Amino acid sequence: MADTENGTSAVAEPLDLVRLSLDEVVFVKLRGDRELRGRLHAYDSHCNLVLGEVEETIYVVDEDDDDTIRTVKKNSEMLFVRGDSVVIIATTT
Amino acid sequence: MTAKTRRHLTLKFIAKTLQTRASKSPSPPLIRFRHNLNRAYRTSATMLFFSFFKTLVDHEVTIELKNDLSIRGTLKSVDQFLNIKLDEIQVVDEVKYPHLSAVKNVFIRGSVVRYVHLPANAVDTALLEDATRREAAAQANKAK
Repeated sequence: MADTENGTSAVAEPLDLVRLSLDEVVFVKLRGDRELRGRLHAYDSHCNLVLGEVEETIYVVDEDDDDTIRTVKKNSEMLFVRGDSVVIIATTT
Repeated sequence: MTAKTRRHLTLKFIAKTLQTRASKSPSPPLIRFRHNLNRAYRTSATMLFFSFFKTLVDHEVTIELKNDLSIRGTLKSVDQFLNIKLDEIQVVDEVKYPHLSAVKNVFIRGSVVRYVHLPANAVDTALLEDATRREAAAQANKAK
């Protein structure tokens, strides 16, 4: 592959996109109707993550109120996320 | 049985297994044995989060499980599967989950963990990012 040879910033495989997001704020979609937004400090090939200054959004169906969707927000200063829950890692611009 | 004889028996067993496998392929058992050992060593070199959690031993963490149970306690040990032992635990929502109120310490299987909430002051983020880049580079080399 040509682009693997010209330095460390090349994108040769999908996880290289994640590497370029290190120390940037990322959006992470998880299983169980959860989303995170936080600064990416670490990841590995399983998509285990460590995020800082995280805001978690949980989407829950409110059965008392005509099945409307309610969001619950939680904050955490430093969070390890196990990779098997991760669906999408996206950069935010 | 001493540890030495046990190890010897294990090695004998592995060699025998490899021999049976090798009968299907042309490579001699010893070479295959060495090859397998090297592979095991290489995968064990990529354990970023294992090392990371080892630096957090004796810190207070909150583990959120995939069944929504949250347990707060002192991180006592961790292994390569990110199984975790916690001491002096407390269930965060005691009223909702009273089952563990008599339990002092737990072993948590790594696969049931959703999050681990960490103390931010115990994490050197710059160091962690460098280690992540090194791990990514090691993975890239392995793929070549």
